[in-house]
Amino acid sequence: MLYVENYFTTVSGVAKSGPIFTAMDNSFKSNPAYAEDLSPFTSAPFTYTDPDNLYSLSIPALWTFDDANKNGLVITYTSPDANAIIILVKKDLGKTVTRALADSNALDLLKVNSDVRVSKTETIKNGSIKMTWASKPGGVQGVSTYKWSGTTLYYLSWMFNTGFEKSYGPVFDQSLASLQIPE
Amino acid sequence: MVEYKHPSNSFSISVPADWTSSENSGYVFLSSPDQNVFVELLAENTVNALDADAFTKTINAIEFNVFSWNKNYTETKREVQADKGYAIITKTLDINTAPFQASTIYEQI
Repeated sequence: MLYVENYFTTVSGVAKSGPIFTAMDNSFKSNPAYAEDLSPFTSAPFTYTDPDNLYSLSIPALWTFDDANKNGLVITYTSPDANAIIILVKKDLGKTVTRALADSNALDLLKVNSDVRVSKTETIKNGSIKMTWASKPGGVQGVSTYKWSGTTLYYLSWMFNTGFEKSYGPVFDQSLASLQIPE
Repeated sequence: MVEYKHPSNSFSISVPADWTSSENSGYVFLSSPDQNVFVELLAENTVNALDADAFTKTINAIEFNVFSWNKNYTETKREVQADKGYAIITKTLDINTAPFQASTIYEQI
């Protein structure tokens, strides 16, 4: 259980606020036995907004950001135990994206996991497509969604190692529910 | 000062009597009437205990994800005892164009 206390004051009010913060911190009492009933990683979400404003969604603040290519095209957020990951992909396909082209490219991105089986495909917010899937050989399962705008495909994937659904299901539900996709 | 207790019973704290509070699961925002002073408290279920390396990565993630995007963000003090699951990080940053100081205490229990 991780407890976080954030104390904010205007810079001009630091001297006045100091004694108040000290008294508050000294009085702070944690009760982790009750905190264990909280859904994992749902207390501290922050909103990630795509730099091109293609979408925004909430992500657990405790998860580690990685932009491997340093170009914002593939971004990952990984849970502290590395059993769950959120992947945000933005791909320029070089020509106007059609539904068929989007489907094909999204499946290619999904198939980086071995022997993926898609159990459900549905249309969700603003025409984006959501796939629920699992990879038994890879020991992972998750949900991916994708949409396109002009020549750009964006693909978001929430995945966790099999057996961690109880831990990460609520996180992904929260993140998916927060997904905002402008028209 | 009066006692504030989160509805989940996962934490409590004394706050000035005229402050307001708003909360959701595992989180509370406490503020002075003029909103020039405020406190956020949260309890996060991390599923597993964080070892020293994971603890350091996690607090760095929070600092990056939550604070670093604020204009004029500057970390001014850092004390980390990762093996004890404790850290305090102080920074200055702008909130609604006003310069603020924020001190964050991390404690794994």
